[in-house]
Amino acid sequence: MSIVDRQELLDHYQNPRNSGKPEKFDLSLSLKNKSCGDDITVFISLAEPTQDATATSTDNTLAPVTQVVSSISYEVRGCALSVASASMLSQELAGLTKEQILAFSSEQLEELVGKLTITRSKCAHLPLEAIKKAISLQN
Amino acid sequence: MKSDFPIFKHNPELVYLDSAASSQKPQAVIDRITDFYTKENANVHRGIYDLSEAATENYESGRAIVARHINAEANEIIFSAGSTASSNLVAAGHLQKILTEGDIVISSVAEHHSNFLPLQQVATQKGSKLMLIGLDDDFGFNYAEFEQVLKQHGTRIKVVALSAVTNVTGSITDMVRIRKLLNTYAKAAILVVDAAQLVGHGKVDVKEMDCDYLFFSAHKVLAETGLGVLYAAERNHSLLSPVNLGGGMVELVEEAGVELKAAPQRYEAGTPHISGVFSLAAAIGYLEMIGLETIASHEASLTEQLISELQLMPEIRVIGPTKSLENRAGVVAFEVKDVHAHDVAEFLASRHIAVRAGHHCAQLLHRQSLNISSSVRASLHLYNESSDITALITALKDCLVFFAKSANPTNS
Repeated sequence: MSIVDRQELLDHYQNPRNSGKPEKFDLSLSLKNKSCGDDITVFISLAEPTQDATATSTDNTLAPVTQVVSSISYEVRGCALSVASASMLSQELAGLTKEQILAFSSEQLEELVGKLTITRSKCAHLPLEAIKKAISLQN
Repeated sequence: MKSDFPIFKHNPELVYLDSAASSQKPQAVIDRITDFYTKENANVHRGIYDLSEAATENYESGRAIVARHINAEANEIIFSAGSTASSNLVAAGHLQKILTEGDIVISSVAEHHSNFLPLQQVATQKGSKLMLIGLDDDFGFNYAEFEQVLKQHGTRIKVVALSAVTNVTGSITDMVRIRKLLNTYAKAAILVVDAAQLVGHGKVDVKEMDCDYLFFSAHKVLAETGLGVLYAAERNHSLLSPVNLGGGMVELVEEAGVELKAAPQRYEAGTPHISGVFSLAAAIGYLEMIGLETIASHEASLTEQLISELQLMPEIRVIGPTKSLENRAGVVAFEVKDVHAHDVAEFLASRHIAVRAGHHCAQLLHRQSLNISSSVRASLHLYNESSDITALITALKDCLVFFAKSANPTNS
């Protein structure tokens, strides 16, 4: 699916949501696509940790702590697809737990931004990889 | 000429402006490949039967045709897997043996990775210094800087490896002038010419260049992929060692050692790309039938049209010579203001216009000299027409409108 044929992608490129560096954030990470020069810095805010009410505890220890990503913003320099992907992911992934974001797959990304060709796949993946890396480095 | 290329019959909307990456093939070349596999298939240099002997004869006559085309002798033509394989053979087979610590290797910032990376590796391994000549104020090779370096380092300079036409800026570097400068300051230096963007677009004369090596790929010259040519001047045959060993390159094998065949067979171990050589011979036949001068002047006039139309667009910056068009070829890179190169290419693709976007295997040029990450490149060949340029310009104008950011962007 090309950005040329998808109005929604073009709209996110022209009017990127959650763009820019926020005053406060918990995690930040920059990632560069070396071969094409695109780069992104993501800024992630976390909600206060809460105990996972859905998890069942088999012993007397506390249930595992789940941490929810409350908001994602970014500064990106790149092609329309990488900007649109960052914009759409910032909406899609906010409110999910870190585990859910780390499990967010390429297939799910394609559901969001459309079918990716081999040459453009890395553009759409750059924001996702940056977000995942920022989260996993925190642990 | 377009009607000679069946790709345009099967893709009537195609505007092909990516010949610097690979050229389209005329019917004559396709027929030659089909004929070989349907009527003539056999290995060369092996069988004592008619088909094999005919294949051998045609293979060697292909070599003679290539040699004549660039004014070389047949034994100076080595068939390889491509430009990359050719330049690696020069680096590993020759430069590796002669370079020592403190020697200087000269190239330019505008080289394709296939020329640059083998040089960088061999220079690093041998403790030699790799010096890169920059661009002049019209994106051309900086001869003044080159002469300064020659003056300063003289005979310490052992190798000069440059492209005759660069694959991004399209700038032409005059190898006759380079050799003259070398003769003044570093007469013994080896001159290696990357001719991948030159052959097929104009006259090539290795004797006039007095180069030591010259290489190109067949697929950019209307022929098949997987075949390259390395011209190795006879004076270098004793210095160039084969890198690949195997069948077809030896006179005598004994337990203690081998006696290699003479050049060029000693550099062609294994079964060569037979149909590739036949296709290249057919391609050269086709090019010469049309005439290299006709092709060069056709491409020059299209290039002039393209450059002048691009320059009328304030959002576009041409990355290559615009002042002296006689010093450039039909390889035209450009930047579009506020639109990423990949987005430009994708938009053009939606209009069936094929261009290349990226760094075109010249990362140093983009990052170091131009300070950009990528560019769009339109490149021409003999089958292009004025209407292709018009289609490109129209689509570029639409592209600017399409990607125009909204009045109040939220993005920084």
